[in-house]
Amino acid sequence: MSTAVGREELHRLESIWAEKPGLRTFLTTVDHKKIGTRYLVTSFAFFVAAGLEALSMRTQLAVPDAGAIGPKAYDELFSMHGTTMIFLFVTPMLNGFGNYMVPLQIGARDMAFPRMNALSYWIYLASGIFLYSSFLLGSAPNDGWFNYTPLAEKAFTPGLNIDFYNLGLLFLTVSSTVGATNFLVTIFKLRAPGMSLNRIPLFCWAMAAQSFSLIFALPALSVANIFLELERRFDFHFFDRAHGGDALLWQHLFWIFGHPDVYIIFLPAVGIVSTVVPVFARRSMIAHDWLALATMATAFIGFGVWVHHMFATGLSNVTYAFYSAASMVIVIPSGVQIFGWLATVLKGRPVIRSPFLYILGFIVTFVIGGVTGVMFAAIPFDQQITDSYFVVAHFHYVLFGGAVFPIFAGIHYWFPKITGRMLDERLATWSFWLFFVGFNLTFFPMHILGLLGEPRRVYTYHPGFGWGLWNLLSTIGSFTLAVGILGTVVNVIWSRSSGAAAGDDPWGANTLEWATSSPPPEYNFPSIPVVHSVDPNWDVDDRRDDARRLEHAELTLSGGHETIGTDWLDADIEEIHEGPSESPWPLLLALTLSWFFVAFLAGHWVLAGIGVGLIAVAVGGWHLKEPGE
Amino acid sequence: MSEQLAVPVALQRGRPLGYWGMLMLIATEAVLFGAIIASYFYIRFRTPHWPPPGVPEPKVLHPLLLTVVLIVSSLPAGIASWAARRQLPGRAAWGLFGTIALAAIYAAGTLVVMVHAWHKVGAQHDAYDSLFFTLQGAHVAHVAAGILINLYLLVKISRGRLTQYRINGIWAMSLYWHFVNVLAVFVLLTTISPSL
Repeated sequence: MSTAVGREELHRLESIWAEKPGLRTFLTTVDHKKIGTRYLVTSFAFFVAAGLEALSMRTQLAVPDAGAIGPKAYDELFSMHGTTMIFLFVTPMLNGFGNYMVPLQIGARDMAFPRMNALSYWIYLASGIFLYSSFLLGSAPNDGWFNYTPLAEKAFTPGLNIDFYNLGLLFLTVSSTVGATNFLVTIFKLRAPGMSLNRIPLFCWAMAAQSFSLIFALPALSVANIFLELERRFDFHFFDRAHGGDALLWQHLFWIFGHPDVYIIFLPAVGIVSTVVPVFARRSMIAHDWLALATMATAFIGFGVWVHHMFATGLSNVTYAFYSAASMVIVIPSGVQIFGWLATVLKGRPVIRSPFLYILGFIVTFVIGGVTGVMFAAIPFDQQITDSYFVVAHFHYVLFGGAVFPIFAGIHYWFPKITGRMLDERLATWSFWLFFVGFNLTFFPMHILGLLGEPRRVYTYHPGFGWGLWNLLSTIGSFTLAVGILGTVVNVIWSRSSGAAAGDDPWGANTLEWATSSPPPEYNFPSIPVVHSVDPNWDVDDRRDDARRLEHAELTLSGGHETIGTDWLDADIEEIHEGPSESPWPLLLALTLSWFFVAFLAGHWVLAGIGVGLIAVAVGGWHLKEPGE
Repeated sequence: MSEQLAVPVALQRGRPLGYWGMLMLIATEAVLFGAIIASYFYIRFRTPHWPPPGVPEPKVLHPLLLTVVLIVSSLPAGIASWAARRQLPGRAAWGLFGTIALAAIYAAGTLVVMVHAWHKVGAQHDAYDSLFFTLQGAHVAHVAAGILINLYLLVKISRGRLTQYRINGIWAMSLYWHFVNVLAVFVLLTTISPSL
């Protein structure tokens, strides 16, 4: 079958792309697959940390007047739980899938900026460690993940707690911005020839929508963090009334970021759903273009609804009416997606396997969360129920249901691609049911507790209120959920070395990541695939053409670290991009940034100034060696 | 189709990836400044006296002249980008030099204006002062970073070849430079608005 030319090309690609195993490569690699895997593993570790924080809180709340955890520790636990889940688990976990899968799904050899990709991982890791080191100093962020002023001002929270929060998030923002830029340029400029705009896989659309949202939303958070840090450190005034500031400014800035952030979390998760549904429904996605449009529409409308987090702050009724209407409008694109998936499942011949189970679990929980969400858009209801456990129930249904279920679907779906082995289906099914039942048992009672009046963020409750039974059920549920998650962890660890061999394409999937071997070679594709439909891996003739092209050394790009650059609209070939290989500078730049943030936290301005100098040196060093040299 | 693909030669050359990356950076920076300026007016419209009693009104003439100088620097920046793309390293170097010189005048002049204002009331007096210094300081910091990067590019092309990588760098930096200059107009209009 394979000819001498083809074998020679493979050999050449191998010698160009292969990285020598060892510590040096570990620290300098720019391979998007390795970086993606690191994102997945690191963010899962943060997920476990956030889970342990949640279990501690549930243990404390299991019975009334419990004394396991005092109010101070409880404040830190719920603040760090929220901050971790949002910033250190869900977003980076989805970025991990994106990092690994986006270049493969669009038929590219790497991301547009491979070194920046490594940089965003190292910064993410460093800022996560930075945030968590606050526990060691006994001053973890303790004013909730949204950190409202005036509570977060120095007069009311004098310790380092909030400085950890401000600086940690500013640090992390650098990583997210770099990552978002990278995804956008990759998705719009590096697609395989023929993958025109209407053939972009829905997961890539979702990553693009997420990245757009990050680009336009994160600066509002950064400005809020910078203002608050200037206020805490240098006695500037932005939020305190006594000096002409306004505490609500924080809420505006935070939620201008915070609501789009809900979609930053949710959209890529939905992208996983749209990836898995057609594969297991065994048919092409119904209304594919509409789903892509709905994804983008959600991201856009998401910028116009932030005030619905502030319905209880006393703004004008006209303001409320506008944001209430906008919050209801956003139901439309979500509905389009739900009906798209349902129609695809109903018109297809569904095969129920573990990834698909999580998707079905997602649809059920997300619809429940969506329904309570619409209730919140009605202002009288919102004002009645705000700050109660009903809110906690709602956002766990949409965020855990809407993001963590799809993430687990993604783990089960892409595990064979990443490792070349299958997960154990029996254990996966058991884990799923524990996960599903545990989740609902944890969070459904919170709706009732909220309606009964139990407030959020309080470390205990009085036995006379009659909240004990529902709280106990919720705690039992949380431990059931934890066992389900543990089952998946055991499954992943065991199957990694002992699972059944997966082969290239165990699911018979439609997207391009399955057109190469599992795990993929360093260069992803021997010959860059050429695409003629929205389900490229189901076009058997096209994939046969790819193999034939290899034998003629066509589109193999074996002159260096090369990938194809295409026009953003029609994906016509424009040019060949030469990318960089291993580099120590991403890690060094992340270290110099860490230096700066640690020095700033410590209030050591000389060291912080030296840090700025070191950052400049690292940026300079980055560009000393140019790609292809 | 595959016959065409047999020769993977660039038919129509696109803009470099760094150009698109820079556009994204500009988008996010625009929102950053937008958020600071929005905060300025948000606080302003909740304050009866702006600037508050005891704080002098901002100077207009000096910042205005300095901003004009900065905007003029877009011209050499554009020349640098144009020349680099046409493989004219000498003119590109002069373009970069001109950009740096004008930007340095702006940065130094603005720092003088800021130090002056600092000695009068400082940034810690009131929200008005804090917003003024944060906005103006953020902009000067961006100009200073731009000067450093342009300087780096200038050294690189004066002492070495005008590689494609460096051409892309100059191209992307000129884009950034135009953005910083447009931003200067918004920063100026915001900071002098109490005196208009």
